[in-house]
Amino acid sequence: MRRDTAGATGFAGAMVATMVVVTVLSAYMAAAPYLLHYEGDPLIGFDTGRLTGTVEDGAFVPGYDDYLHSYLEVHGHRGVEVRAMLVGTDAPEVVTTVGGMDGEVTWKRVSALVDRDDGGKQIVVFGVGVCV
Amino acid sequence: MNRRGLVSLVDAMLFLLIVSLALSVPLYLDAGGDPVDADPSTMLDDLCGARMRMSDLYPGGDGSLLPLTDMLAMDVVTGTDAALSYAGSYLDEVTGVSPYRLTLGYGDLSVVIGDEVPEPVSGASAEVPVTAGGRLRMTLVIG
Repeated sequence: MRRDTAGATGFAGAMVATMVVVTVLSAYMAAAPYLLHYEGDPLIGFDTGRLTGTVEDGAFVPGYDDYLHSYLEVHGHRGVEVRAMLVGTDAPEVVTTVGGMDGEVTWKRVSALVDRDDGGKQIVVFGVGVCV
Repeated sequence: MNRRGLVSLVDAMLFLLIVSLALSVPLYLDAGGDPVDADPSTMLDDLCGARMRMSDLYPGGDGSLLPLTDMLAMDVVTGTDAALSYAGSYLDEVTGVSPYRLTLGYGDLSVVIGDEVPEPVSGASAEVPVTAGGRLRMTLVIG
């Protein structure tokens, strides 16, 4: 193979060669934030909007059991646990666990408003733990 | 490579670099997904959206459903602390070990829940109408 000393390859050849490098580089740039973020926080894919339920007779009734099962199937984690607490009441904490939690667990706290059976809306604080 | 080839190479590199950067921006923004931790504005939304019975918070209170913000405004005016304690319990739970400071203002009066936050990380403000008249101002800072 002889070097193109005359520059005959021109714009098209240079573009093809550069495209390979830039494509790999841009793919890395696009994927790096997701990969870094995902590895640092296994709860990134958890949709907190699915943490719903109702308050009936002063007790919280969770409505996210199906979502926890599908979340585990999609993300392949070992287990997930949600602890729901009605703040400011004597109601016991409602714990829902799917899968196993014997391992490294990452916890986060979120809150949401849930409907009461008397027409009101009450704040529930959720502790969400994921075991990877 | 002659001058023409060199100019073409630089031209192509600049063109592709700009295009690739432009294409990677949406992917970058979408990669993070929804944050899981509650943020101050969400906490204020929850406080503003809650509707509870007076009897839930006040011993001897009637069973009428009221916005929590009405009861907070009443506490600010009367000096009672049932609704304020409820809001404090909620913020204690949801913020965990992070310090917080909630300032409630109603008319010329104001009440503070929480401690001084030496290094604020995030904050939010809200203003909601009170059934009895006036507006309740809320400012939440989290460290």
